[in-house]
Amino acid sequence: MNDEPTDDQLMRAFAGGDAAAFERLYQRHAGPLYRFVRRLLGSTAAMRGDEVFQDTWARVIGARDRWSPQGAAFRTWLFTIAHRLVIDVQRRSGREVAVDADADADTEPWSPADDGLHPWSGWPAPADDPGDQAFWRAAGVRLLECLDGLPAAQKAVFLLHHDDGVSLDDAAQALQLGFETVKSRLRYAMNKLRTCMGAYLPAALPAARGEKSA
Amino acid sequence: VTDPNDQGTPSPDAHLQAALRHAPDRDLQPPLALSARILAKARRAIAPPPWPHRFWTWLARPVPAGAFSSVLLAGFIGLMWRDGPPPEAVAPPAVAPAPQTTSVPSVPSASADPSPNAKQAVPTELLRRTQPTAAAPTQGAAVPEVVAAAPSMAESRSASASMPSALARQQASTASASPSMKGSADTMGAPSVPPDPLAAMVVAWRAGGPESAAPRRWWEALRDQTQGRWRDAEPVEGADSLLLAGPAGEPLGRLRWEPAAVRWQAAGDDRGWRAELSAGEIEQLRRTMPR
Repeated sequence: MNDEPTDDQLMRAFAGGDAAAFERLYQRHAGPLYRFVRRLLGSTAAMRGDEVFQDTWARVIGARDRWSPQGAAFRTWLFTIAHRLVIDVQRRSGREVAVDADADADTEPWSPADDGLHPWSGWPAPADDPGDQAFWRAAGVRLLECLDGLPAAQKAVFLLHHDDGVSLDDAAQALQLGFETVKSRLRYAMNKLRTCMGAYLPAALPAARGEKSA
Repeated sequence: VTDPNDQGTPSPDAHLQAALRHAPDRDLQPPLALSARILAKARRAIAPPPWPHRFWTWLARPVPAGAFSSVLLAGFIGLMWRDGPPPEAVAPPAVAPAPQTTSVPSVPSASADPSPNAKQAVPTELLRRTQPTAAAPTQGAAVPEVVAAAPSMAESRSASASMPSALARQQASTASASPSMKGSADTMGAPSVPPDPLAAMVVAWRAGGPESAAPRRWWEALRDQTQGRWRDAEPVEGADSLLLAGPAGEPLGRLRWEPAAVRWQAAGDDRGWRAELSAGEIEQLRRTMPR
């Protein structure tokens, strides 16, 4: 039996005056949340990451008495707050128009034929094989660059779903969007990232293979 | 891997997930100073409010507010009546009967014999006011009465004039005492949360793997022993300070042992902290400190 208290229990304990409960909550979610905020802001606004991260926790602290699960997981709620604050930062810095314009540019329906699935055919299996570490590290660097080119709306869906393991239902709730919209944005995001990563593959694969054999 | 022919819910792409897992920012953690700020904010938020705040909250309730305003009102009225009822609250004195002036001749002539100087000292207005009711021989007798009253009026005037200066002296003495009172009030108004500069370090070590157990226990022990003893101090510098790293090798901060204290400065924080400890506590902490 798992004795680890749930996020909801910790949040209630914190609202009741238990500072240690907040420390445990923070310990659980600080890393993933910080990463999410930094990735969502992208390299151009990365310096605002600390501010957004701190504001997110400040909102959590301020809402401790009003917090009630109401069907949403604490983690989903936490990422919802962070996402809203990132949008606010982008709006203030004038990037929101570009973000919206980018998201709206994908008006044509997603087509399976466009799905850049084929790049994976030459890639090593996505298992944690120590021999492929160099390849995957290079792929990770490349993926962050590709993420930078993604509209924020698609990036948020992709990161929630692929990095934080949030289900599409919860992602729709966190982003306050319809399920179909979230699904569509995820498809576009994956399609663009596969294409972007596929363009990287021809150069990276031999280099990684050479490093591995060396 | 998503099937491109499947228009349903896309499943996570294993290759993209593997690339994400190996991204250079995969172990990115918030800076320690930032964590310390957030944890301190959380502790402050749940600390009981200072007593002035609690007092005002209590006072805002109807019953105490009514009682308090009654006391204030009573105090104000008492202050107003302290030197006797105000003139308008007193019934006007009966008009002096005419015979009062006729009784003046009964005053012994020796005492009634005014000196010319005394007469000069009496305001002529007063003299005029007394003349119509007094007969010519009694004029001189009436004057000393007024003259005798004059010093007492002057005395009371000087007393009332001296009252503001007494109040001023009292206020001055209060003002001279106020700096310390103000200081204590400030202290009382501040949230009574002891600083906990090691909270972020403990959290960082708790986030580490099983190999972090020993350092984590040491940090927790240090935090427990120094709880409530931290005071602001100079930044920790010098060759005798230790640069301590976290579970991932990232610098956590600088620590220095002193004969009767431990000094700490978190990485990224420009403030230093100092906690006084006994020699025995320091010896034990130094002995058990993980290498």
